[in-house]
Amino acid sequence: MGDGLSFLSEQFGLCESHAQALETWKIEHETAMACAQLEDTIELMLSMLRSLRRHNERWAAHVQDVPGGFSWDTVRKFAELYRQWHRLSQRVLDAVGLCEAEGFVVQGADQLREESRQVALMSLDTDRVRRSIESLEEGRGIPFAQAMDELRDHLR
Amino acid sequence: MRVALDRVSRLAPAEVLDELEAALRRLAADPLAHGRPAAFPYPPRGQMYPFHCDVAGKRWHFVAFFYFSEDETALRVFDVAVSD
Repeated sequence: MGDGLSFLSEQFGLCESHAQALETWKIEHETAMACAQLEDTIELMLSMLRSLRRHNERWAAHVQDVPGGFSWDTVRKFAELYRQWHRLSQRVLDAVGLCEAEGFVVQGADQLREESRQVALMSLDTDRVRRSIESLEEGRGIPFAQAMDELRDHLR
Repeated sequence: MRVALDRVSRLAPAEVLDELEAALRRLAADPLAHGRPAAFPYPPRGQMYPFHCDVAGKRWHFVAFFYFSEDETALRVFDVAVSD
């Protein structure tokens, strides 16, 4: 697993340099050219996410097949890559917003928005998730009705 | 479940609570129909249940992450993610 994740980290470096190039564009370059570049970046971002998910699914299959194959350390590494992808997607979507405000249609933008929303809905705070699962395993969970009552009291 | 609902308590308005509760009750009533295995973050046993609530013209997206107790008589919800 380690080698696969290192490879993904290197690929994120490529996304990073694309995103930085976009910031320069915001000030200096022609909008039409920049939009084309933006579409390339979106394609790269989507491809990165597909690759990350494939690695994740392979690891999940491995964990289910091999007793003791699960490790929180690997969860943490995947979480960091998903978070990194999400941060980059937000930067790219900021640039998409500028492009769209100029009247351009950016291919792939809607798909990137949807994928970014999906990643935001993942459970990426590894320490909190681990704490939550350990607490449940130790019998310190609370009944559903009580949890909802407490949530209601908190939000009022 | 207190930790599981952290994100909801920070991000969601009180208006979504009734729908959130109804959705979680639907999951509890038939987890096999609503849940599906989640490759992340807890692939040994983790499942996920995505759903949304429409409140005051705004759509809120949720994902409940859970697993079954060892004897499969209870659902243990370990995280509920929310975004608008």
